[in-house]
Amino acid sequence: MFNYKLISMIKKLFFLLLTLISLQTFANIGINPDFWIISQKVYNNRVSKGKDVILYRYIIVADFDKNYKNIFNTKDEDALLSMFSYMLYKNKTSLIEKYIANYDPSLKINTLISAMYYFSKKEYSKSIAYLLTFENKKYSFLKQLLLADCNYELLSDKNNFNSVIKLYQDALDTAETEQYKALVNNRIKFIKYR
Amino acid sequence: MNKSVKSLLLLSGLALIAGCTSTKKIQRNLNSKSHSMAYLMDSKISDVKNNINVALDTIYFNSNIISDTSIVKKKKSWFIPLVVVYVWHAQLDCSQGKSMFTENIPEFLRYSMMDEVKRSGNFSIDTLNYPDYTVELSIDELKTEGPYISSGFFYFALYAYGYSYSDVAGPAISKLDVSYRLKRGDQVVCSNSFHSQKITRQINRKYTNLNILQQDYAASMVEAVSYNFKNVIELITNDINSYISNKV
Repeated sequence: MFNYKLISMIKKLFFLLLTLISLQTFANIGINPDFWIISQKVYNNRVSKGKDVILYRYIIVADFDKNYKNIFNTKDEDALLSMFSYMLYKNKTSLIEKYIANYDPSLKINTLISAMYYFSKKEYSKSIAYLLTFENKKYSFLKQLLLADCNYELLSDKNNFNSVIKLYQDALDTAETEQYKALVNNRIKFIKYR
Repeated sequence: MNKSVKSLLLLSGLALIAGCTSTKKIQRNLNSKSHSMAYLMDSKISDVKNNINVALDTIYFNSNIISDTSIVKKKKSWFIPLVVVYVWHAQLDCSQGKSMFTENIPEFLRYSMMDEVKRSGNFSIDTLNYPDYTVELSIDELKTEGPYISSGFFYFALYAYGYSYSDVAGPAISKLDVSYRLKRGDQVVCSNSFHSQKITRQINRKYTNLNILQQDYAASMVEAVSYNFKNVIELITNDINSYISNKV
């Protein structure tokens, strides 16, 4: 009788734990444990609630699209980025690999998606190569921030970071909102306190 | 001596060693690593540059205004060794030294000033051609000081014992005074002095490794100096902008 109650309680705790984990609104980008991917809406929510946004290096995307399985059926660039971002957030490895192997290279957004893919695998040099060929004013901030992050991660001596300050400055100068400026300044804070 | 008494004495000794943070240890940690003052500029980028050239001349810096290494001094401390309870508290004063900085201070001011003028100045900064004006800068005050408080207790009663300790760093106050003299030939045409002050956040969260807390304290002090330099450099650039706008 006692054992049954104990097992039942452990089961409930286990499900509660699973629920709490699934409620987390940001996650590592793919298998990269050093960066976190988050939607703009959730990031705004965290900032407004005064939650810590300094100690995490966030990659903010406009939106997450949970209908990620439709990624092979659309040509809408914003939708593709939202779906792929959601796949990175949920670390849907097999589907991510399938998309990267089969995407339409004529769609420019797939260059940014490739950069994010290699970024999520910590293959920063490959990510930089894609970022340098990607031009879209709408995503210029994301591009500059990823470029700066990649170059920082490639530093052999992380304490000698002055060479990447210029890249973070470029990111800050493309930031259109105070929130994005704060995001870049938080990167500098992270670097200084790491 | 009874074995259990020996164990308790050993435990109390260990607790005290772990809890009481020595002045020398904090000083060593504050000096152990240098931190960069590098910062990101966020001033408005100047749309128009006129033809006036300003050369950045001498930067006066009396290196005695800041010590070579960071210094920690005991302000007050007490220790109460009661029979079953030991309580300790120490308040220390930490002063920033040059060892905290990665950069050479006057050189950092020079390069930061040049970068700011290139960004938000309505004039050009040039040292190669014959300049219309020269500017001299002087670092008149550079000081960052703050407290470090270490406290804790240890108790034991028969076979039960416990201890707790906490270290709190800051808030430190960082002050910077920089003056400038804009000269046309040998004549000073404009001068001013600017002050900036920044108070760091107190670091009071629990660290498992106090060395990291002390290094973070040093990083926060350098961050405050970096903020002050950014602030003062922007103020000087704006001041020279105003003078030059009136002359054009």
